Amino acid sequence: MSNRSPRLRLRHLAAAVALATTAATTTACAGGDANAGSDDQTVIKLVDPGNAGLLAYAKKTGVLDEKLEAADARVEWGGSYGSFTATIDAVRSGDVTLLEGAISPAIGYLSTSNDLKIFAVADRTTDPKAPVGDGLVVPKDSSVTSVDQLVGKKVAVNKGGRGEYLLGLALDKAGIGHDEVEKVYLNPVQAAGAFQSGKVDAWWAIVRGYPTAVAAGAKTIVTNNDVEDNDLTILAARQELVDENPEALKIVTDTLAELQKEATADPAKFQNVFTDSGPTATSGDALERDIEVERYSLPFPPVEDKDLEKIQVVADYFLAHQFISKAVKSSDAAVQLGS
Amino acid sequence: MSAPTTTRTTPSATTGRAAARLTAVSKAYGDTRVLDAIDLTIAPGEFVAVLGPSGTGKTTLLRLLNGFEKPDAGEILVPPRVTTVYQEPRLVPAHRVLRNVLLGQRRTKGNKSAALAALTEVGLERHARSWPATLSGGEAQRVALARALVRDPQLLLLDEPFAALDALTRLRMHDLLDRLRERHRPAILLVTHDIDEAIRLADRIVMLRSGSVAIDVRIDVEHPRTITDPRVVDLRERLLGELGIDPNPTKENP
Amino acid sequence: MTAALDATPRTDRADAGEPADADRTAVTLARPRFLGSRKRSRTLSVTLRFAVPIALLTVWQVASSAGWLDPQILSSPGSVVQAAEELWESGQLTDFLAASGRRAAIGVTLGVAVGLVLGILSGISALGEDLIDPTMQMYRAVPFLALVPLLLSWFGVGEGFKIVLIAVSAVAPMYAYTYLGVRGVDRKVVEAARGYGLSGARLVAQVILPSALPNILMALRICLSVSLTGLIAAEQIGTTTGIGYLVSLSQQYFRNDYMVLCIVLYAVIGVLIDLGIRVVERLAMPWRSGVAAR
Repeated sequence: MSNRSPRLRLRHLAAAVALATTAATTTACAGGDANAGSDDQTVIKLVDPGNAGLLAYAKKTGVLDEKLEAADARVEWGGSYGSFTATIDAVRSGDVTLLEGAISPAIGYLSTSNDLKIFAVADRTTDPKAPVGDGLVVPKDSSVTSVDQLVGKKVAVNKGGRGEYLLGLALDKAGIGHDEVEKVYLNPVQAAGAFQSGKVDAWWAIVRGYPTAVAAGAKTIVTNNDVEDNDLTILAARQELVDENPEALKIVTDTLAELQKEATADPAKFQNVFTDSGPTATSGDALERDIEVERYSLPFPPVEDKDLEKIQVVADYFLAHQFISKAVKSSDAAVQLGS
Repeated sequence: MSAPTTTRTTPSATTGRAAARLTAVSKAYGDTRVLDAIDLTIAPGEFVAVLGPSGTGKTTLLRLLNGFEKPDAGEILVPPRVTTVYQEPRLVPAHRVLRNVLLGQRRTKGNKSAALAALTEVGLERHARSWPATLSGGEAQRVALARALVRDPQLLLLDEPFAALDALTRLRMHDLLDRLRERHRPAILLVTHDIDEAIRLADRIVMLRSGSVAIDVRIDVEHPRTITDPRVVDLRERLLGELGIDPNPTKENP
Repeated sequence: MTAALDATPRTDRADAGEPADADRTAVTLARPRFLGSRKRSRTLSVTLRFAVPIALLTVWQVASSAGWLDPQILSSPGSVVQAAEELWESGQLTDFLAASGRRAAIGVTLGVAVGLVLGILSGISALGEDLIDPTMQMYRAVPFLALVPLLLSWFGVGEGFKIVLIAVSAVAPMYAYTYLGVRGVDRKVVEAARGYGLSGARLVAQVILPSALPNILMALRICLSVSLTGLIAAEQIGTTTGIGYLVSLSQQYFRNDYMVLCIVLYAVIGVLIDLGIRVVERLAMPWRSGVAAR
């Protein structure tokens, strides 16, 4: 019996290996099939636009596909990503080829990869009636009233991103060294919790974090408008998309510019685009504010020379403060469509 | 159910001096009445063997005395120090032999030397630092015996302690138990299937049947007892008869 | 021998309560201290099981209504229930649970199959152990979340990636427990079975697997719990459905009520997994009921 066993055991092993391989191939195929389409048409892969904004509205109406037909291109709406890092992974793997964002994360990405190109940059909203985008907040009972009182205090920022960049600018302006405050690196969700429970003394709240904090009673010390922020909203695409069909990208910027006009006139219809319920739906004050933000937002014109300068300013600042370890040249980071 | 005739042969039982006393103890599992109003008194220093077919409540009796079960009715009284040797050694595999003997006691110098002395008594002083897994069945059971005796029990419960041993080892264990008993004189309650073992060791044999005491008999035969002793032969036949077994089957087989 | 024993002072014994001489003559008898396991009524047991969660809920509710809890830090039970209703009415709750359930089911099945086969091979044969165990021990030490970037580049962001991630997370616990379970099967029983002509797959199916079943079910329990972590990680990426996506959404939108709802959902799923495995245990291992020492 004992000399029969080894053969049997090997057979078991072979079966196991076969099973594991089959499993891997099956699932790999399942993943591949989802992206099947016609061969020559350009496919623009976007992340899920959520429930508000130009892209959400475009997804609902199908206007992008309509316009892109002229350039033999179409859009493919993907899933949502829980974090910026996850989105970056998807860009890297080519599952997302066009995204909306800000200069700061694009610079972070471009310091390690060169397959992403900024092709449109929105102008900074300067209208004083527009709601403040983001800012440095302290709890409502805090004694801090200005940036210079933050020396030795704990300030939450998102590492190497917009929060840390804008805090840096604010500290520079107040003439305080960056190491005189204690930076606590937290992503916005973690920071919100730490801030609410008083574990940090201040927080540079970005995106949705800022209105949420203000609504909960936080006091604003400085805002992005005070620090001459060059971290503008951008559109970026993967290199191969730029090479393959620049016309399609042009159509995207044009279409979004059209939509922005509509949004300025009637911002409310760009809110709660798909649903009025669930976590993505807004209501009350938050909805009011979002409508105002949308009203005063500016379109994304294709990159111009002045944009290259702004991108370079951010990139240089990031390098100087070691948010990135490798220099990024704006001429590599951006592409001027049609040039 | 009518109580069968029992022979009360222990004077101390009536005078109130006892090492254990069960009064009208009943225990049932579901519909099965395992013990039915049992009365049993064990005198200090007395060696009682409990016999009976499987399922007659022998093990339940021990579990009741140990406190692992509660009686449905009746009263059980035991002395402060009761120890048990089970059919299996039940040594903690993760402790060395000496530590097993010390189980549940503080590891003071005095306790340790007492444990070592007990191991010496059972002839295992050389194995004090061995692991239980390295012992033979007989050796492990001797450790269990040492563990029971080192507590200086007033009542020693033996639950078929030799049943798993080979015949030769069992005989040696009988001798050892005899010697230890002579020295320590605890009251002993031995549960066994082996009639010869009961006769060889005990002062008194109690046979259970259907949850009641069927026979309760004192063995007034001096040690060492031989199986040819007519009193032993008589008792053996009586016990086997009670179990429904013909003591001399060869005579009738042609 | 005698000398050694007699030299031992009796009073040194831990439990010596009275002089040794008195022992034989006047023993005080008492009822034996009850050492058995107490049988509790089923009602009491069920009540106790519910008591702690209900107490926690009560404390939460009271603290919320009394205003001790900042809703930004912990939403009130009421608002969490409201969030659940909202999701339920829009049909998203069902969709999310179905999507996550499907991913978890396929992923766990694959992972469990691989872990089971490897664990059995490693447990029954020395060759298998030499070939598989060292690698699996290394694999086990790798947190599966560290594999996310790699898996992303191999499988993309689609369903394949999510299922593989869950499968990958399930392999290690399944392997480890199966291996232990198979190693723990009574060698003597296996010997006897071999003696009666069982070998190979029949030996595994008829003797080894049934004997290792307690471990295997324990492994399944752990795999299912781990798959929840896998789901959160997988559904942060490239999806618009699933409970992991809900977690990610509620964080992006700072919706504390939905964050808490997610936690409650996970807790409920945990209870359901436990109940499910208990039922399986009862059905698959009838010989075990009442055996386990408590």
